[in-house]
Amino acid sequence: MAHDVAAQVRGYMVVFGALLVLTLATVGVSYLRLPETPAVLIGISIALTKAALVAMYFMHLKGEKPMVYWPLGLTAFLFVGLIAGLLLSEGDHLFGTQFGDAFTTD
Amino acid sequence: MEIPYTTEVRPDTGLTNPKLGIWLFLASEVMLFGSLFSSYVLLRSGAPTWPVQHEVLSVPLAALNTVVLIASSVTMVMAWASLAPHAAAVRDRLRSPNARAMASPAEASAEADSLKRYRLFMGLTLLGGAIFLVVKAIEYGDKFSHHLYPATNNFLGLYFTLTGLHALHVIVGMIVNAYLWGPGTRMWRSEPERFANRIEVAGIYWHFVDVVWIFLFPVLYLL
Amino acid sequence: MRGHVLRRIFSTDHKVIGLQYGFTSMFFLLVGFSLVILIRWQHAYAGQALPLVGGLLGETNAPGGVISPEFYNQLGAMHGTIMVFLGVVPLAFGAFGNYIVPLQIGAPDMAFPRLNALSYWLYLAGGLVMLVSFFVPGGAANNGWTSYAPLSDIAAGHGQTLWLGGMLLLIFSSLLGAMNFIATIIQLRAPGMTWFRLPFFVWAQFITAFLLLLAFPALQAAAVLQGMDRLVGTSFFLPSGLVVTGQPADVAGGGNALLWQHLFWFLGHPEVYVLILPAMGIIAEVIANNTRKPLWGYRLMVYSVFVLGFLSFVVWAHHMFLTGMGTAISAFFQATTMIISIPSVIILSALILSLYGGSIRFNTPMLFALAFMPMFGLGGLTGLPLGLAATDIPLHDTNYVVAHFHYLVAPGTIFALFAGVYYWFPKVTGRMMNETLGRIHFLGSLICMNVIFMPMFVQGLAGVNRRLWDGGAIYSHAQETLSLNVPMVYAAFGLAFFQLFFLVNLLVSLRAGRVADTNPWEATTLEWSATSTPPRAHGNFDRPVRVYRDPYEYSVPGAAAGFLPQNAD
Repeated sequence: MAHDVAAQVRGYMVVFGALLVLTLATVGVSYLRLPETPAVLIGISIALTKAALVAMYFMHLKGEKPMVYWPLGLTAFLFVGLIAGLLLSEGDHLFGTQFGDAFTTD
Repeated sequence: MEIPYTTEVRPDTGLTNPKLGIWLFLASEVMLFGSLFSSYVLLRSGAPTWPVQHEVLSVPLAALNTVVLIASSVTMVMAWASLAPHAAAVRDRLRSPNARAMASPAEASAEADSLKRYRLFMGLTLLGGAIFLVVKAIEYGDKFSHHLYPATNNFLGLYFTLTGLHALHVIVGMIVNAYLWGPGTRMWRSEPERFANRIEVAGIYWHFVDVVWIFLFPVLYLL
Repeated sequence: MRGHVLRRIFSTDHKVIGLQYGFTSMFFLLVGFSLVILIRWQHAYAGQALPLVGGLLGETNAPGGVISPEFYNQLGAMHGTIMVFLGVVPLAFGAFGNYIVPLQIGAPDMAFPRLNALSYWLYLAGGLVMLVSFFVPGGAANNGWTSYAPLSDIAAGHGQTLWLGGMLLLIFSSLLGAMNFIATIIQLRAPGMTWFRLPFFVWAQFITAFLLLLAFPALQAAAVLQGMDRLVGTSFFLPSGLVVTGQPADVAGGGNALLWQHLFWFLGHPEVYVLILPAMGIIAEVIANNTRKPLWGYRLMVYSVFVLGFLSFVVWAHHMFLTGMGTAISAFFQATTMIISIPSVIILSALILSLYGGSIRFNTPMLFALAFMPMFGLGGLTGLPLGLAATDIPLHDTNYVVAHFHYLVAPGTIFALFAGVYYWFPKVTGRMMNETLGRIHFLGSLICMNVIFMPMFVQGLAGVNRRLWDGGAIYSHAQETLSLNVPMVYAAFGLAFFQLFFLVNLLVSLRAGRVADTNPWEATTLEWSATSTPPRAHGNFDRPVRVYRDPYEYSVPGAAAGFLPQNAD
């Protein structure tokens, strides 16, 4: 029992260390002043990794039950759907005019 | 009248009601912050010009806050870990055949130790939250003193709205944690497992607040 | 004594909370109805002084007894807001859901009884904020129930701000409630109550809860953003170069008014399924019980309601076909909208097919259920030209849309809610409601609702816009259909009159209705077969519940009885 607790605590410390390293990394990369696309990709990727570590290990999501995974999976899908729907509808500035105009004026 | 599966897990789902409940609540919170992040992406991508974020805001202060909040997440999970293994032992003692309400000296000292460790870690979590809010207040004050307000432009509007809503969530979390650090510990004597589960559930909420900041930091300060 | 009273008022018993939701929501339905009767009058007799009540409205709202355009807009916005958010959903989900779901699954209460109570009080607080908004300078919100930016952003007075605050309270209430329902249905089903033995009513409420949980936060976010715009001067929804009454708006600009629409409708569309799903659930219960046979296609209905719930999240921009979205994205939303009609039709068809071969009892709940089906069918079918982007162009924002959704909500959902009241009244009170009064209420309501809403299709097809202060009187294209407003207003008065039969029935039956035993409808589901009347205060069930069979075992060949309760062994 005592070993389990010690092992658990060690695990949390390892994750803490990783989170600190990743925080350092994300700040460090920002000082490189990369162009927008790689900067966003790297920044979001690091953030996703940190979030995954917190979720899996601190929030005990790793090894959680299906009845928790399903609503979260649905939520993730809907979030992506919202942002995609929003950008694809209003993001002419992002995607040019390749999606066509609702009303042509010719 | 007892609601089933408040403390014991339901066999087919493997969950307690509070554990399922907090994840459902967090699903809605993901959609809330997700909607706000979506708004940020739309407004920023559509803007002809956008301030250089790290020149307007203080990256060092925010980096400090990031570390503080992550550390408070660690102390929060340590607070739970201090209680959880012992909770089962206390429960067994309370339920044993000769109903020993009084612990043996060794048991009593182990139980007191775990409560002390819990109090230490939960206290540190509260301290982390307080430091976070103080730094936030310093940041806000600094902006205001330079006449930078939410109405100044959409970047600042989004900055204040997103971090403000996040700070509100921090405050709510701290209120819950303060209760669980103070008067809430009464439950440790009578229903230790239920109390430990409460700490876990409060922890899951607190970690979520940390996760939101993990995204806010790069999006608002670095990119 | 005082403690006892407080404990009753702040009760955590789902049955008490359900009744609290019930009474409060019915009050708000009456308020919302009163508002729209004024609108109906205004359309029929635009610019004429309102008889009797004109003076009561005050000189700001109705100078000389004539409804002002500003007040008219308040009536419109608040009628929609109150009916949807304070009336129908709290009654369908908060009242019926709270009271019946724990009973039907064999649970002693909801998973989180105290959160349940909090949900009710947050709802009441939100409702009071909405009512109070009528009395602040500038009056209530007057930007449509949809509160489109930039108008809602810049609207003078506090009404719109109070609308935002009220919505935030209501949304928080709903989120807590949704969480409670989902956890309860997953965790507290009695032994033997497997997923496919759940009454369809529970499935409907389960999916509804998911819709509320995951869609409402988008409106929460939008309300926060608009609150910042209104109170702090941000420009999230205010574009650059906005000019208001000749003056450039003194804001930073750079905002996007359509962002509001997307966030609103991301909630708004699932919201309409929140309006209809509990109703379908009630109708399913009433039909199974009054045909004395199982529902046709129960499993198919369950799969359909899952698909319906899921799809409801990806159709929202069909409310925005005229906002200048590109053809590709419009085609996407048009496609998903067409596809979502499939599970809808499957559920309606299953309900209709459930009648075939049944031994139909024509009691009052069943009359409402039978009327629900063609009325819902009409409402749904009239949605098709709206869901196709090209045909939506002439119909968007006309009275056609108003008729379409009112057919679904009024002789649709509200009829289902009436059916639910007549059906479950004996369980709550131990008395039957009067059948004669019920039939009069039914027939009168059915006829009046059709006289009110059918002409609106004609008006909409003629191009008459919705939300017009004079009902379209200044437009030449509206002249031919204007006169329809006159029978519509008298039908509205008629509809109000026939609700008296319901209210009187409700109140008198409480005292003097025919005494009923615990299962007067001879129903199979647990709320009838396993509880007393009313169900006992703590724990609902006198002994632990065990479920042995499917929910609608009526007329089973070779069985000892004409119906087999789920818990009978």
